[in-house]
Amino acid sequence: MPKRWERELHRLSDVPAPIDDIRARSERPSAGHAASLPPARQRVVAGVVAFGVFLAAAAFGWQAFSGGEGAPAGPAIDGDWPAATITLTSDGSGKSASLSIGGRTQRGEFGASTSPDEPYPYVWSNPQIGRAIAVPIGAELRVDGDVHIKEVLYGNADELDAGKAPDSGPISSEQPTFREPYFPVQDQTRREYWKLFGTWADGSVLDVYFEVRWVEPRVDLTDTSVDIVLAPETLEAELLYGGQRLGTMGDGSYGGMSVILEWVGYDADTVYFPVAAGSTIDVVGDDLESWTTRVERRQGAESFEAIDRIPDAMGPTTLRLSVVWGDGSGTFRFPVEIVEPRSTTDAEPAAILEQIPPRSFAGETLDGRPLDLGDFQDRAIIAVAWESSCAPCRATLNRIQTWTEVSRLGPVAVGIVERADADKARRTARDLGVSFPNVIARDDRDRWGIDAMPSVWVMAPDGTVVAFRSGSVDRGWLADAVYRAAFGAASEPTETSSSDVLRVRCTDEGVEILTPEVEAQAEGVHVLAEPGSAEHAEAIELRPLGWPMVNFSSSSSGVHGEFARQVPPGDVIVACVREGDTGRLTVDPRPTEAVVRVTDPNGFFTPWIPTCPLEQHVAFDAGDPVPTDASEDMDDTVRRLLVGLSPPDSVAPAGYLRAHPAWDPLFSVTRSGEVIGSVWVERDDGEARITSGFACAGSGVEEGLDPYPAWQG
Amino acid sequence: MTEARLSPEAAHPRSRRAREVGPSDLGVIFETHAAPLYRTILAYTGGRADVAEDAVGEAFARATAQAESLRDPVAWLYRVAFNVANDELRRERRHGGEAPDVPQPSPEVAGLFDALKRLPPRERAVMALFYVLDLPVGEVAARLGIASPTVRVHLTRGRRHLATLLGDDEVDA
Repeated sequence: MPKRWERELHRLSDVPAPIDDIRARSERPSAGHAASLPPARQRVVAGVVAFGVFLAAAAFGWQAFSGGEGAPAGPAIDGDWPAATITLTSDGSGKSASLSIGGRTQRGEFGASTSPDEPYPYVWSNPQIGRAIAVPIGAELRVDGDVHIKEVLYGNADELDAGKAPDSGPISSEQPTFREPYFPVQDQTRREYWKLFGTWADGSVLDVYFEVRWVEPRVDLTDTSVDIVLAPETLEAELLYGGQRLGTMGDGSYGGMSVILEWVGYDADTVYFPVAAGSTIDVVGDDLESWTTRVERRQGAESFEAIDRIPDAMGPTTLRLSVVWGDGSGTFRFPVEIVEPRSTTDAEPAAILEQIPPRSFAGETLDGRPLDLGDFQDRAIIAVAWESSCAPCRATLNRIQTWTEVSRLGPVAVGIVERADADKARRTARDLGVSFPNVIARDDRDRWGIDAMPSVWVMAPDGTVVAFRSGSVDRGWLADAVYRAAFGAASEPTETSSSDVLRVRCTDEGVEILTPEVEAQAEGVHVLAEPGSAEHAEAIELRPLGWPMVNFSSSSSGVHGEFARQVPPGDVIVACVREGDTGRLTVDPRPTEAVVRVTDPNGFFTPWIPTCPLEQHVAFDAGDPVPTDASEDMDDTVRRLLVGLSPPDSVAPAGYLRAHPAWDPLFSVTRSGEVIGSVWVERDDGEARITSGFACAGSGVEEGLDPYPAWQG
Repeated sequence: MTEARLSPEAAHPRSRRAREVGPSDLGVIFETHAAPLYRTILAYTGGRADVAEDAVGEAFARATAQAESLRDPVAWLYRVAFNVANDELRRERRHGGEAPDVPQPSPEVAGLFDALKRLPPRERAVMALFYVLDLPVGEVAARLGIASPTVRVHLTRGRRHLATLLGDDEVDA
């Protein structure tokens, strides 16, 4: 039966709408400012308004794009809009396509027909650069060639992969444009597909499919300043970027001497406001006595104290500002995404691959040992040329370091630095915790044949360069390149993602992780479980790294399909769960583990893992059931079950229980403000019992304790 | 390359190709979508009929001005209307609450509207599209420009919030 509020919501669908009034209002000129802006800005406004996604606007304060005073044009774009030209040609020898962006050309390959009944044989694919072609935001697509384009469709490639994509087109245009990305412009990790339909010169059906991944155009963000303007009397803060107002933060509440303001519309899964690494930070405001800014890594512990400059690129994070005013103090939190000062697009592979460092590249490492790349025969190699003074280099080094630590494919990473930079590079490598060797090049960089730092090569064991990137790399690029280096270009690239979608498949060998590294928000890891060959697999388990295996069977609804799983912040283990001899679900004995890093930027989760060391945990045994019924407060029931603890002062559903009450009846037990235990409670037909649990040693719980007899009612 | 991508059905959904919407169709779109959009924004704003009326009207006004550049006018209208409504509500909060002449909702839905107002904006938007318009999750995602899993997360949260605020009472279907 529906809830009362559900029915009331449904009833709103019958509310009469004042259509005549709305029509009259719509016939008045728009209150928005787009139409009155200069042409260049208007283009930006139109694009952002059209696809700016109201949530991104709300989160960023970019709502000004769609109206409101002082609509900013966003960060300045260096130069003209880049152009992307697709050239489609057909002659007697066949049909071909090439895509040119910014003077660099990527030639596509056409696959075979998938069905004799469907004239859709042409799939754009360039194995050298991966499926998704990097297209600068704002690039204008021009279709060249003696072809007739009738229709263009576009949409979410991930959803298309899942077989559920609604096309978001069509664009009825002879000259389709790339100017309006389907995804928010800041989201550079998502793939968008485009389909061009029409006829070739010979009259045959033209049907081209290709994917794009939006990247920033040549936006020079170096040394841009982030200014925060405080107005304590109205509890507002304005964030300016490069001198342009990007939004006002308000809606705060004043609590005594302290005020905490969140960005209006802030939501963990919205796109964050991009600021560039290296940008200076300044805070201005009336009656301001002092301030400090920090940037917190979403991964947790690391933070930068009292920074006056945005540190290395690290993706979405929180910029925290603590201020002391004349009459109080306050904390402001801005969701920001720290990006590279200068983005790059994929370099044209063919030209640059000829200039790679040879496999025999040799030299002395920063710690004085000889190194020859030839020593790493039969190993995939990631080579990165870098220098100490470049922020994108440091970000890239971090990613490569992380990758070498978590990858099961065993790539060897080697850095290459200039001799003149060796001393500083040595310090940088030490500061960043880089463990892979870094070779001091014999030649200076001018002879390396590269024009940007960092430059990254990924080489297969046979020495073939499978990928090159001039500029910083993200995890998705690394994952794809290393996979191809390890298993060959003919293999299907690993699906990678820096999003929160975890793609897994249960096989006879255990769980196969298709996204080796996922960074998820605490609000949920989205699991896309593909059909596998495993028999008897019942579920896919996600559990915190280091947390003992317990009967954690309810972690998914099955081994196929899509589900969201909420787990506490931290690293998470992924494993297949099968039905064991006892009838209980047990973890597949051959799991393949992936690291899923779950973060909790909102503080949404209450802690539920006991704070005592893991080895000190003792286990509960299941107790006799305690009668309960639907009207009874479950917290009280659990408290009664737990009277063996001496005494808990609070029992509460753990964080993710609150989000998914039907999934995991996990309760945390707190005493004196510290979590001292966690229990899983099974409810069945009016009875509740503890099925398993853990508590800190010395907390009053002894192994084998049956908590029920001590219950006094 | 996945099987799904190679599938002619999946990669080339013919039926979708017939969904042509041109600038000249805004009139048709108004007839079809103005009322549902109004109801959605009404729920989103917690019963602010004045804001809903203005937001929907403004959205169509902007659409008319930019008709040539709109790819998916319906989704665009929803986003703009949400955006305009959001701006207005925020502006009111900054300037000290609702306008004095705001029409009050009827008593039977006043509680619902009050509860909706306490939901975060995205949750409100998702709940409105899902429950008021009865749209499937995928369509809600398309209207808001967010991923389907995200919609489900917000639905879960929204249900939980409304159950907390309004109770779990069930009624006959």
